[in-house]
Amino acid sequence: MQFIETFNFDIIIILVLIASVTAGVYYSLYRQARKTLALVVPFIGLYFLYGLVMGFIQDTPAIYDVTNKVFGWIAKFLGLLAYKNIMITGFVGLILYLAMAGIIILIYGFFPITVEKRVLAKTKPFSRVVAGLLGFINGYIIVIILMAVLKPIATIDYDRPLTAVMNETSNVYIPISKLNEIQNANIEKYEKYKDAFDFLSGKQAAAAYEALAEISDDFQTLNDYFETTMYSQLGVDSQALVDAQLIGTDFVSAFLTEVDGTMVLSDVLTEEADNPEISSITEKLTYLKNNKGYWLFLSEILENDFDTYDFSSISESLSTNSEVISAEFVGVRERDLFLKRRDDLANFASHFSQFTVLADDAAIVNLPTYKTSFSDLLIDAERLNAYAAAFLATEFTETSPLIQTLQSAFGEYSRNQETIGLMNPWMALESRIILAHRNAEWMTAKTWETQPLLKSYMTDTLTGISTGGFGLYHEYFFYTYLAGEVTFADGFDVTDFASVLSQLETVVASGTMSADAAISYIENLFLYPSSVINVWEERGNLSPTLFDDIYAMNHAYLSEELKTLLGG
Amino acid sequence: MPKPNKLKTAVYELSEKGYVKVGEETSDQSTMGASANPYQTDGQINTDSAKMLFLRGNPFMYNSKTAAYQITSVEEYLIKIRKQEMAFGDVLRNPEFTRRKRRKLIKQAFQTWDKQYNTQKKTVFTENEKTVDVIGDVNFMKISLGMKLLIIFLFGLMIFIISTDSFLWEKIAEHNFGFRIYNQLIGIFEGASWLKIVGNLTTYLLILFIFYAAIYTMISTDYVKEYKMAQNYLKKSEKTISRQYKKKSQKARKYYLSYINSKKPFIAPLDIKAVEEGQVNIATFDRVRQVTVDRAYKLKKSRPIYVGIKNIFLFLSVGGAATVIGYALFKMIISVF
Repeated sequence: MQFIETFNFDIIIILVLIASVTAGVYYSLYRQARKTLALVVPFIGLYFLYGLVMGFIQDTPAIYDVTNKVFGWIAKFLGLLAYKNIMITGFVGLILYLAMAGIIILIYGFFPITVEKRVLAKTKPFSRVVAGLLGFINGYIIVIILMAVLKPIATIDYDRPLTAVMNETSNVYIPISKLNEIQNANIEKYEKYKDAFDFLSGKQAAAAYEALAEISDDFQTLNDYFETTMYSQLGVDSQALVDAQLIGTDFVSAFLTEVDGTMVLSDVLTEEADNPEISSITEKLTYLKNNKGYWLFLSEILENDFDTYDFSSISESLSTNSEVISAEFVGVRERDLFLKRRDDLANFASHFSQFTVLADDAAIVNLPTYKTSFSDLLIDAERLNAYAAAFLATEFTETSPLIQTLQSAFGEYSRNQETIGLMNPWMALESRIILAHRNAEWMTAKTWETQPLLKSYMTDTLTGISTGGFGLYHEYFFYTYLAGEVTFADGFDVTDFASVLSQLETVVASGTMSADAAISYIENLFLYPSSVINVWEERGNLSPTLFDDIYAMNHAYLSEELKTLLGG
Repeated sequence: MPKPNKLKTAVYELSEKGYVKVGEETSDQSTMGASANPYQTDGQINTDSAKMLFLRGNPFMYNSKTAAYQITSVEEYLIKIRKQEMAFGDVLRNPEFTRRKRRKLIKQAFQTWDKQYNTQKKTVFTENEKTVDVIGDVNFMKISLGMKLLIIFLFGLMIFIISTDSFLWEKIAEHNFGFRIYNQLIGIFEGASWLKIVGNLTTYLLILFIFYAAIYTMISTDYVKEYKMAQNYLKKSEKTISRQYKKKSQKARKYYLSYINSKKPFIAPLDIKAVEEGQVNIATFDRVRQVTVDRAYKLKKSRPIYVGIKNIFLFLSVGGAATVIGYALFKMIISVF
């Protein structure tokens, strides 16, 4: 039943190929050849002409400005402004492709078969077999196009056998197949691996634990605020409602108490509709309402202060009382977030002892020390190789999907160990594993620089966080193009940043990236939560004065917006 | 009985360039027929009966590419003279016939061939007109554009509904309303796993239907196209055949009559190439017509199967889509109250 319970793109591939081969056999060689030529030859034409045409458009201001404006409007209207470059390049490619297909059909029309032959001649089996093969080629291309077109609305599992084959055979001669690989397959894999490594490194569990600690602090701060400020801002009726439930100075509990099925804070909000401070009151009380489940956990389930528990105790308690707690959440988003945090903690807690053994570091005594040890492991090639081998040899007591993902990631790591060893060790492991799969294309040939469609995608993704590929490709771009002269072991300071900017100038001068794109890229380095800058900051690798120093710098790639962000 | 003449006879040999005069000989007319032709003056033929049957045919319908016997000249064909049969060449050169008689026989022979040819032509052309009437409307197997768009739309919609992890759902769930819908849908699928199965199967069925519709349209379109091509061909061929025949027939007739009138002692046999059928001919015409009829017959005969399968696909896929969408909407509406 599993087979039909989830959408399987392999079935679509099989159906398309069967239909294409059938059509080929039906059409026979002469007519199928026209269809195949019209479908395949334009790709070869595009391989040679695409770059030239895009270069011509970009070098002709009149055309470039018009296309830029028109596609700017369209992209804005569709809410796809982050994809503007790829929309322009895709449109030009489509027009070129259609024009070449039209020319081929026209030329083919100069060699017609006579009516007598078409009507009277019996098709030979050989002709049908060859036409079937040509139909198969057509089917392959149709599948690639379908994969790209359906991706935004379909869940495509790239690990399914046929889908994986389609992905493996992507090539620069069919640019859409390569785009599909770098835009969809790589990103999906990256997210999957990142999630798994965040689990393994303890990041997820630590984040969940820290989020709970933060909420605990927030409740304390809010209670103080209610007592000292907000209570006095309320009207007499509201104060009476609170007073009726108040025990000592526990304002949070008073607001969250339910009277006749309604929370006190809801009645207060109704009463205070005309209060000049209503926006602040609403904000605070809504926070309470949304996090009611945590309050139950922190104030009633835990007997002591949150800080006195370690992550495994918290995890155990959350799992035991999960149903009671989640029932307290009013909003679905908040409940889902709570359940995710519970799972993150529980998953890690159940594997912690095995992970500690694998890490083989006597310094590990708790979650924070494990985290530090693991992040050190990731930049030590020798330890990492041994760890990968040990991980693959381990029989886990619980084989969750995350463990399976990690096994496949480490399997891939082991196969490409040498190539990965040549990459910058500071690059996230998930990025290194994914890029190593096509190492030559990324590190040597740098295919994306010469392929217009890929270049447009990279420009869009490096300049826009919302495209989804920033996590993987900003790292690739940073460590491959910009960080050549940076020694990370000593930390990252303003001199290193100046060196990065200098490298970026070289990249812009070579035409690989525009100056506008460079400005956006630098901005995103500070905005994206998992950017290299933020990861170093988290690791404590950034110079404490870096942001101030950058704020004081004058450089064409440092926008005013960024300065404001850093200054703030 | 006319007085036998001493006749000079030219000797021709067939070469790559047609008949070439290689010499002359003088002989007594009364013995010539027997020595120069395989046919005797009394009409006795030395070849087998099948070839004889073949030679009773029409030289204007001869086709060197398909004929059972290779003929070199129109003069080999047999014509009837009263109760006897003689090779056309023998009649031409028979000293027993007067010039007037020979002219009369030539005219008669051409008239017979004309009549034969025109009768055959008329039969085939009339058959074709009947075929056109019988086949009638050739657009009987169409899937409307609206239907095709509906299938494609349903396919997209089903994929979208069942692929709850997609980029589009992610974007929709960013907004509160979208998030509520998204969450409800997830809940519906979790509560009724059969719905997800129906959704998946419907999606596969829809893509199968899309391809079936494509192949169905392809066969139908192909048939219509070939039918129209054949009709155009037949229309054009009809004119070409009539024109070509008229031209060849007149030329051959003139060729032999001018010989009779000119008192020339000899004439080269007219090469069969000058009278044989062209590339466009009645036989091809008839075959094209026949194939068209056969195809129309096959298509019309298998129409119930095609339409039946189409209706099954339509029923199952639209039914499946309606079940998934209807059930999801029903659950969503119920949850509001």
